[in-house]
Amino acid sequence: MGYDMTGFPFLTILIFLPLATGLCLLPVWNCRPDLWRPVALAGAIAELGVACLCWPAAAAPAKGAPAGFFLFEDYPWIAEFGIRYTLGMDGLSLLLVILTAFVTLIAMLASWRPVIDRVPLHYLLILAMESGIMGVFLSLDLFLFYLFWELMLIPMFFLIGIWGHGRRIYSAIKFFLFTLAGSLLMLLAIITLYLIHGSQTGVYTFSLYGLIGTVVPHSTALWLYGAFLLAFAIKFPLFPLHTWLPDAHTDAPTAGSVILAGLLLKTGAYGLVRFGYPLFPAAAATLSPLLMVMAVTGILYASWIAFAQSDMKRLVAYSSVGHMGFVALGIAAWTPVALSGAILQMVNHGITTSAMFAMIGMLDERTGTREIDAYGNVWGKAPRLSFFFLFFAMASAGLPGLNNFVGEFLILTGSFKVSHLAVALAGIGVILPLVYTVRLIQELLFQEERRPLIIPDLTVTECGMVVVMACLDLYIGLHPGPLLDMLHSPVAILTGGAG
Amino acid sequence: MHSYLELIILLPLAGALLNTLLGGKIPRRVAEIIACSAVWGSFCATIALFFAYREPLSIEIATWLTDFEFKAPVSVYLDPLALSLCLMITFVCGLIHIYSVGYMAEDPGYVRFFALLNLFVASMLLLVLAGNLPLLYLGWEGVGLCSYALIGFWYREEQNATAGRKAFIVTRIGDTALLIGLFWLFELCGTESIPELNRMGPSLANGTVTTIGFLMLMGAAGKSAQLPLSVWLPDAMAGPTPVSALIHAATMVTAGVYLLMRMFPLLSGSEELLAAIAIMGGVTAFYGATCAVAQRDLKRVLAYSTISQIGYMFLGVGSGGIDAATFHLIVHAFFKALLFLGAGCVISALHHEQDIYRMGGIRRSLPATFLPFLAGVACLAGVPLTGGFFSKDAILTAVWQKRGDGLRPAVLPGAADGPVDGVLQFPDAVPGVRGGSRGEESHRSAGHGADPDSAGAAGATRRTDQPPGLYRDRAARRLPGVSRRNRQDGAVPCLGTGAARGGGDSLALGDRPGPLPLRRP
Repeated sequence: MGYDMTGFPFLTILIFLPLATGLCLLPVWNCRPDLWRPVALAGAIAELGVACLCWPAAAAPAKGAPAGFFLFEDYPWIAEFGIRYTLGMDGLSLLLVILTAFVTLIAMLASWRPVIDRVPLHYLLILAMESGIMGVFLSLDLFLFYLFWELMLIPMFFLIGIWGHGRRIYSAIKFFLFTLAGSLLMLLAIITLYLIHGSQTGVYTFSLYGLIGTVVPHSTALWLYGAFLLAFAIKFPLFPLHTWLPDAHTDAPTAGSVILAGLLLKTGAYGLVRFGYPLFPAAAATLSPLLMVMAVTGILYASWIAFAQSDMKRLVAYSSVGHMGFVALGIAAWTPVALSGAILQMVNHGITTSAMFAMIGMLDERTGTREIDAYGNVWGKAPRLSFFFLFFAMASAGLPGLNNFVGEFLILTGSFKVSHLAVALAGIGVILPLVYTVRLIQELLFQEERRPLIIPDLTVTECGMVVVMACLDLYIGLHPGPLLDMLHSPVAILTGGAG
Repeated sequence: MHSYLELIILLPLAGALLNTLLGGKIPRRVAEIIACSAVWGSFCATIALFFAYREPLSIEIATWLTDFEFKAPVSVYLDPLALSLCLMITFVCGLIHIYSVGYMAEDPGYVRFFALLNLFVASMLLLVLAGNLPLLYLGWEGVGLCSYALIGFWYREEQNATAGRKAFIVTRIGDTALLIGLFWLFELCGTESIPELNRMGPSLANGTVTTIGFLMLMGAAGKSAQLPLSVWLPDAMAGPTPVSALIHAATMVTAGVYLLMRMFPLLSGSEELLAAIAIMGGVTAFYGATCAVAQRDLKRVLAYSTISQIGYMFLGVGSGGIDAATFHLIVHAFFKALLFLGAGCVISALHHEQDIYRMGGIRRSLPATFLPFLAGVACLAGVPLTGGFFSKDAILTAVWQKRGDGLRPAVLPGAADGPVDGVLQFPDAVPGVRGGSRGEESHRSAGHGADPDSAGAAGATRRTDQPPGLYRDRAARRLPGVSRRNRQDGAVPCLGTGAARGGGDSLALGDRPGPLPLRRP
């Protein structure tokens, strides 16, 4: 496009705009309740606008940046330890950044009515989390990355702990401990790599592109990669490290679930693609069968367990584990088609699952229950709500023409030449989601009602929100070209480098 | 050409979209007009395309999935096979839309019904015209979704919703096998384009073709309700009758046959696979016909007969008789849609009575339904000079000509099927002739039923003396030619049909005393 974007600190703005908006809430914290929601919402919308402005920048590469990056900021930070403030955006980051801004906005709208308690804190935490997630997707310095990785953890802990339901404290602590355990091991691995690189070259740096290519003995590399893999697999979450997720989802408030499913899970996959594979290509190749086994087991196991759930949110939580298994399969295959499919699937899952959680939140808010058994004939009572519920459920079950199909199709196509068996087994994972989804739909929307619940149809705001998400689902399902083009160069560089 | 092709698919899609968006805000009549004119418009475009058609062409309309070496654009491959199916689909769908206007006149969910029906037509046409396999799969799943939603159209009754769910899941099992077949083909050939794959077919190893073919066959079996994935079709009759006529008789269930015909140049590389297709078809034809004997529900009789007729088509494909199978597919679409529409008239005239042993007197009370229905039955039974006679004989000829493969035993069940099937209609048609006690109870079927019925009947019987369009010269060349050139070969299937018909008749005779005690006093 026509305007010059070099020099303008888009990336810094992306990271700190939400936090700054959150801080803007402080002056009005006690006196102006009417300003809380508009201020937070304005911040989220502005953030989405900035994120979208980055799209045209992809036309020209940034000066002095590693290959594929079109926005790049690099300043010294703690020079004694070789820590730099390095941010970079390529097609991969761009898609996830836009997804983050979008899903945060959805999460805010989804908690518009249900959250009445400690509203400014709620929004401050959501905005702080957005900053953390943006930082994760943009950092190219391992220390900075770790910082943001931990930063996004804390707001989620409080979101679940304060506004959650049921055993919220238990779930929040479980979430925190799982994630922390993984990330501490990753920190150890980062420092070890830093020391190895420093002792070999005399240059002590945390910069990702400084560390890539470090010669590490294979056995050591396996350990280091293992630590990264563990941290990312917990976030993913991959079987058998997924047990925190259903609890966290079940007890989280709607906004928490939306961000958890839509964004936090993506950070694990992103970490693996951005850091795990490029830093330790040989070790990653050695361990990729393990990743593949975890992925396929996860797909099958989670789909199986989802079938037995009586709580809608738990069902969707398990379906998330299954869908993320597909992403892991695509990453494990590490072929261009599979990898771009996996990244696209992260975006798809972010949109579709957020929409599912948002809709379950709407039902929960109307009736006070998420038990599938309580419902029936919702279609007769709230046809618009039901239509969109059916729409997102079908997208999530991988109906062609909608977004998830595109991702799954590319992942499976690209993985097929790596492992016929894994794809054949994952094929069963294409059938099972349909089974539990149509069961959910039948019990919820069709059939005679079990309890006399009053379910008003969608309000105008809710309708607008779901229509936008449905249009995105359709758009990516029917015309994924622009997104795949955006992913073309980063994926080509990643797979070329690791191949 | 371009614009016709786009119109064919886009018109029904636009109809579906318009009805969905406008929802209940427009008068019922307008919604009906939108739905019907969308399909008839599509039919007109197909007719225009038919006259403009010169040679097979593939056109890329838009991009869809392009990622590194993987390419699946929105492309159309038009050849006589696709064109003739498009003609059939738009015509039959148009008639059924008009029928539905009357049939659903009392139903409050008409917007949803017509939107889904239009969406179905669009997906089905996409399936037929698709120039590459992923796009075909898009249409394939699209028709599956519409089938699911329409079977469970009256969703508050649990068994309807369950039947829809069953259909969706069972077909998805086959679809997944098909999907794996697509991945495999892409790995081997580096393309998903149908004409290119067919061109590359001969260069593939025999064993690979067999394996991939089996995966595709599973997909086809799921969609076309062939053994062992046939379980969903009889339950699918829970849907409104026009849906059964359209989706579960005339169009969607033949998609499996279409897939095999479309990929035939590739699949024919493996004799084992062809034998498997033929055997699956033959066995299913026999199985379906046999099951139909034991049914009391009029629509389930027709459902099993559909299973068996599609088995017949599989038999034709497996024997290399693509033309014969296509011919039968189209004839079957006409007479089976006719039978279902007739059944719908009878059922609504009898206040939703579906038990054939409780029917009677149809001839006198509903003559406008009875005669077309009889024409459909005659065509299904393969009575000489009906379309069914020519198409079934063409298939049997194809089977017979493929000697030496151990395939000939398949002729027998296959041959037995048609007549048995036809005979099965007797408990329904014959009590109609006899004039039962319930005659006075049944009110005249509404005028709406008669029109498409007669039109359908015209479609089915027209083929008798003058197989129109694309089939004219082939049918003229082949069918009489066979018996001239190759007297025994051509004659035997006819004989076989005749013999089996004799057997079937005796079955029917044995059946006759049955209905009487069961009739309501």
